[in-house]
Amino acid sequence: MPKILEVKNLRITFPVNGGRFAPAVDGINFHLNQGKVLGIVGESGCGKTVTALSLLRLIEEPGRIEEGQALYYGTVEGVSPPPRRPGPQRPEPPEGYEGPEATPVDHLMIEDLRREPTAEINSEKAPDGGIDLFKLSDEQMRHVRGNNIAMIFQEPMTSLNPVFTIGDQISEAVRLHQKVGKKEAEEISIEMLRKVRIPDPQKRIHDYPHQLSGGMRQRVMIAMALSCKPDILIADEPTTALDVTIQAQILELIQELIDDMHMSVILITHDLGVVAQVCDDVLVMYSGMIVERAPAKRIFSKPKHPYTIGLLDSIPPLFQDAGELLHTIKGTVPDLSRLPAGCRFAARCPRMVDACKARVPPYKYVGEGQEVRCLNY
Amino acid sequence: MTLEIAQPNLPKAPEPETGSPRYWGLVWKQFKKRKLNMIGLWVILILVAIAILAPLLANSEPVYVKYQDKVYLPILQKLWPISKLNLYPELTGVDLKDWKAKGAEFRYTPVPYSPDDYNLEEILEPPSIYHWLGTDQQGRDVLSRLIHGSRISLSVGLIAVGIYTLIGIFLGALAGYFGGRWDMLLSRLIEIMICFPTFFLILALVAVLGQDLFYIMLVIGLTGWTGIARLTRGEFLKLRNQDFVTACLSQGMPTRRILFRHLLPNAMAPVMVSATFGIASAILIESSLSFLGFGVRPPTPSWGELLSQAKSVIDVAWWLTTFPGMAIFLTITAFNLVGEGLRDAVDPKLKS
Repeated sequence: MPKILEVKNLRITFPVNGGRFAPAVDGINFHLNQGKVLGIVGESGCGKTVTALSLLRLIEEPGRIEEGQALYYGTVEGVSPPPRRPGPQRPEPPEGYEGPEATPVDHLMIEDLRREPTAEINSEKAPDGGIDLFKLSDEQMRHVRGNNIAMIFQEPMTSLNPVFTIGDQISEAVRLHQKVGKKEAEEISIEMLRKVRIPDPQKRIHDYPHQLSGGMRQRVMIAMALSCKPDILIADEPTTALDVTIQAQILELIQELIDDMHMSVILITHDLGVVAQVCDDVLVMYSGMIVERAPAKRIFSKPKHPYTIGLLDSIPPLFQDAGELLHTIKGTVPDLSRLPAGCRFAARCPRMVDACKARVPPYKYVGEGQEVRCLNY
Repeated sequence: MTLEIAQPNLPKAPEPETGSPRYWGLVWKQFKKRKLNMIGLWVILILVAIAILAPLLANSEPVYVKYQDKVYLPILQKLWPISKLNLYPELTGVDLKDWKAKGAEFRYTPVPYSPDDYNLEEILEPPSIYHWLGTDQQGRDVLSRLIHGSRISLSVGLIAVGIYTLIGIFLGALAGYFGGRWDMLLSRLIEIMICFPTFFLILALVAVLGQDLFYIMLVIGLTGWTGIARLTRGEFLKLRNQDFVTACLSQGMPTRRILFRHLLPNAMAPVMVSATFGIASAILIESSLSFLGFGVRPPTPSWGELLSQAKSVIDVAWWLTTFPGMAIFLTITAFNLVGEGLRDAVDPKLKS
């Protein structure tokens, strides 16, 4: 499975009172496979959005990307990628060999087995040749934005400029990166609106954002983001502000467009239902760190980290007696400027041991592409 | 993976409305509701029409001459750029008065006097059928001078405000959007500018630069931008955190495009209001300058200059002060009415 994006040791800090720096994102590693959907889950303030914005280098002052790499395995206009280091040669398979023998398990299992174990990603064996987004010039970065990596946002109500028609706005996005005329850009806009299933696109392009409902606006945002056919789509809580039926429609739309346009997606959410519906892999973030990563199915079937388990338990059951309290994770998120030395979840963890307070637990590979940062395993 | 995609049950499109009600459409609707706003607007429109058509309204040159079955329009020869064409070569060197004696047919403009035509036989005539608003000490027609003076007054108002609106928007936008050091610098500069008594600053600058219409516009423009800059700064400060700015950035849009194409239209409403009031005060400043003798050089007619000329004979010729004064009053009031109406119309709190 080729990678399209790989983030190595990303660390983002914000200054806090007294000249100290709070690490909003503290040394995270992950990668995004081509054509897959990577979910990033976590509560507010855990660093999900900051991570996403950093990939486009849109962290606002005084926030800073302290260290790390974001390697993009694609072509950026005006950037020649560093040469690939020749990796270790794989021995040629013998004549007549037709791959490993298929085991008679259902295809879903095979999917899981074929997934490369994530532990390998952290090793230094990852292929060279990616373009480090953090090292590009501002001008080069402008080409990346929208063209290679596009983003959609949480609030469709305010993400469109109220003074221009949606047709103008999509055409503008098209013309920023493609050398096309006004007329052609408008045709592309209509085509994109049709793709996101807005009825009557020829008429709708003359509408102003206030004439559209929230769901329609999110469709317009998606159309705009996809108008330049980016490799990667970052969706920052794309359904949070929408009501449930529209949520489902938007998720289906995203899913379909991914399959259609061979895009890779980073989906940021705090809604585990969304993860279950569209994600292939999941990162669970807590207080600026990744505490667990796994294929989406494993997160639901075999959650390991106490935080993940707590999150899953907090989903209100469909049938619950009135008066019965909802499950919560006790305690609060640690203050980013006063982080504990050990596991950041320790203070709230029901399974804490003394060693948890001493140091941040390392990643532990627990099989089937699942890794967890917890001393209990 | 194939998902069954249900055809979304989308809301019905709004009623077949060609061309959506733009924001300014809504403002216009709100603006129209008050009668005074419309009166103000009409006064301004009429004034602008008068200023543009001034040479066709008040001119000593005949509009139409019929002599020996041939029709001439001599006034065209006085109008730039038609004057360059030399339409009637046969008229050069001809005294039209001779033709009149020979029985040619003449038609004149409604006010058949040019602003600089002096007639020492008709000094300080009170308003009459011949001179509707009377004449001044040199026998010049007051109405003609007022009509031509409106060109000076209005163009000073519009151009000076145009200059300072551009400066104000540019500086305010930079300060508001980038914040930090830029904002610091601009805010302090504005505070310093506000501390100056602007009128005396203008007086001093005009005295140094010279009494040229262009300099007067420029000086008013260079000293008046603080209000607009402050407003724009505030609006941009508010707008830069809007989600659509991040969305624009995430599409790789250049900053200048975000600033002036996407943010500026959103910030325009209060700027327009302020600019409308600004026109009124610029006209007043020009009149004051001319009144004090620092404005346009006589005999160029400007309303302030008319008043200035009139002050020595104020006790014998009331018409010399009354009519220019009324013209200034009417114009300022009209602009203020429109400004006020606009302010109320763009105020979202008043929309119900």
